[in-house]
Amino acid sequence: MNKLWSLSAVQISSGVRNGDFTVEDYVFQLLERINAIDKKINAFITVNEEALETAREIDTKIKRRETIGPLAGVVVGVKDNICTKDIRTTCASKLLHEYMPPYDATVIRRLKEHDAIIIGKLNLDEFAMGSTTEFGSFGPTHNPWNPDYVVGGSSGGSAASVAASECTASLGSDTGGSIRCPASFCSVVGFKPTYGSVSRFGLISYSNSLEQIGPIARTVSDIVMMMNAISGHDENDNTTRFQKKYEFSYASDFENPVRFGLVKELIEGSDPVISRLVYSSMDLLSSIGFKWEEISLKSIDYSLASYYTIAMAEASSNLARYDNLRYGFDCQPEGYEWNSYFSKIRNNFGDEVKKRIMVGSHVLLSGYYSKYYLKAQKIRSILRQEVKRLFKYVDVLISPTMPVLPFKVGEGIDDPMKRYLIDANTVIANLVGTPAISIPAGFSDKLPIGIQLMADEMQDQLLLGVSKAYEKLAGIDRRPDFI
Amino acid sequence: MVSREHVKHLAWLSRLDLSNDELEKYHKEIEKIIEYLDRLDSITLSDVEPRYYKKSVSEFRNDEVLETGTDLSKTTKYVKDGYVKAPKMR
Repeated sequence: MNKLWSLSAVQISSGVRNGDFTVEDYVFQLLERINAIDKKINAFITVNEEALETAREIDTKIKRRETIGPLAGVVVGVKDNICTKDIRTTCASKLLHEYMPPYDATVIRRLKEHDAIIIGKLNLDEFAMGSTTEFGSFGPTHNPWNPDYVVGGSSGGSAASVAASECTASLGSDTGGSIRCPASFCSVVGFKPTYGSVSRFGLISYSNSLEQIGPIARTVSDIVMMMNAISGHDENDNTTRFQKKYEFSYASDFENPVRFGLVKELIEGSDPVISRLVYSSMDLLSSIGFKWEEISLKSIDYSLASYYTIAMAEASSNLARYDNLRYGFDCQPEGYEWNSYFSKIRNNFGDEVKKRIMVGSHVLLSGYYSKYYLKAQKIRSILRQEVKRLFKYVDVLISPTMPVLPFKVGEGIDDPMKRYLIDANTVIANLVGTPAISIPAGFSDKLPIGIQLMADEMQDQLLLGVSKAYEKLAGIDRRPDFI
Repeated sequence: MVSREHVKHLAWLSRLDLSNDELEKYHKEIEKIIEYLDRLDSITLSDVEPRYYKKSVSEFRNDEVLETGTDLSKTTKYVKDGYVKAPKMR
C-alpha cells in the first residue's frame, strides 16, 4: 500500500484492526523513510533495530485474534532523555553517549503495554537545555519545512520526526516550552499536560518542579490517544495523580460558550505577523459562539527571571549526579584524586549545560539564596494567584506559542539572553503547573506559526476539546512537501 | 559586576575543570545572565509566601523493599567485589 506513513494514529489503529495493512508494512515504510530523509533533518539519534520484529509480533496477535492494545500499530519516537531499556539513552550529552538504561521509564512501559512500537530515540538540546535543538552532541535538528531554519526545542527531534512523518507520534518533555516551541515551529500539535498527569519516572531530570512529559502528534485526536496510554498515577512518581480517561470531545459538547482571554502582554510582545494570526484565530473561534476578552497578566515581567532562576538552580542540583562512576564513558578512576576526577569528567558537558550549572550554583550560594531563589519562588506564587484568578472569568488563555518565527540555524547563537527571551510565553504554564498546548495556526513566508491555548490545572479535557474545535476550524497543513 | 574570580569559584563549586579560554568565554555570558536575573532584586516581596509543591499523603506507596534488578556491570566496567570503583579521597 502507498504512503501508509502519512496516516494518523487513529487511522493506523483502525487500519491494522480491519486488516487493511499489516503493522510490518507500516513500520517498514517508516524505516525506509527515515533512511531516506533523516540525513536532511537529523531528528533521530538512535533507530530501534527491534521495531520490525515487534511489528511482526503484533501482526501475529492480530492474525490469531488475540486481544491487542489500543495503540497497536502506532509507532512512537521518544525524546532521548527518556529511559528505554536496552536502547541507549544519551540526552545528547557526551557524558551519556554509552548509557544503556537497565529499565524502561513508566511512559515507555505503558506505551508497550498498549502495543505501541518504539521506533527510536530523538534529538534534543543537551539535557533538554535549549529552545532550538542546536545544543546537543549530535548536531542540530533541521526544520522539515525548511532545513536552513531551526526546529525549536528542546524536543526538536520529537517535533521534526512527526512533521516529517517518520513516526506516528512522539514523546517530548516540557520544562519551559520544550514541547510547545518545536511543535509551533514545525506545524504539529504539542501538549504539555497538567503537572502530575504523566509520570516522570525514567525521565532524566533537568528541572523536576517544572518539567512534564507530553505527546507531539499531527492531530489533536492522536494527542488524546497518546495521553490515554501514558497518563495516570504511578507509585514511582509521587507527584502523579489518578486520571480519568480523556474523551475525544468536540465543540458541540460544550454546554456553555467557552470564554477566552487574550493575553495582552504576550500578544504585544510578539512579531506583528504572529499577533495578527492570534486575532484571526480568535475570530474563527467566535464564529462558533466562543466568547473572548482581552486580559492582562502583570507578573509576566518577572516570570522569565523566576523561571530561569528555578530551572538553573534545579539543574545544578540534578546534574550533580554525573560523576561517571556507576554509568558514563570509559575513564579509569584509579590514580585520580576525587575532585580532580569529577572536574575533568564533567568538563565534557556542552557549553550551554556548563553555563546553566554555574549560574545555578550562583543563585544557590548561601548569601544569595534569598536574593534569587526565594524571590523566584515568591514570584511563582504571585503568578499562580494571578493566573488562578483569571480562570474565574475565562476558561482558556490564548496567545502566540512563540513570539518569533523560526530563525536560521546558528543565528544569534552567541547571545544566550536573546535565546532565553523567546521562552516568555511558554514558561508560565510550567511555573504554574497548568496544561498548555500549541496548535498549528498558519504560516508566514512558508514558516509555521502556532497558537498556544492554556487552561486551569486539571482542565486538560476542556483544553483538548477546545483544541479539537480550533483544529477543525483552522484546517492548517501538517505536512511539509519538500520530502 | 561578576568577577572572573567569582566565575572560577562557581566552576569549582560545579566541579568543572575549565580552561582559561573557557573561563574567559563563560565569564561574559554568565555575567549577562546574572544581570538579567538581578531584576528579581528590584521588587519587594516580603509578605508573599514562596510556592512549593504540596502533596496529599494518601497517595504514598507502601513502604516495601523491591528489587530493582539493576546490574552495575552492564553500565560500568570498573567494579570490584560488587562495588563500584571510585577515585581516592584525599
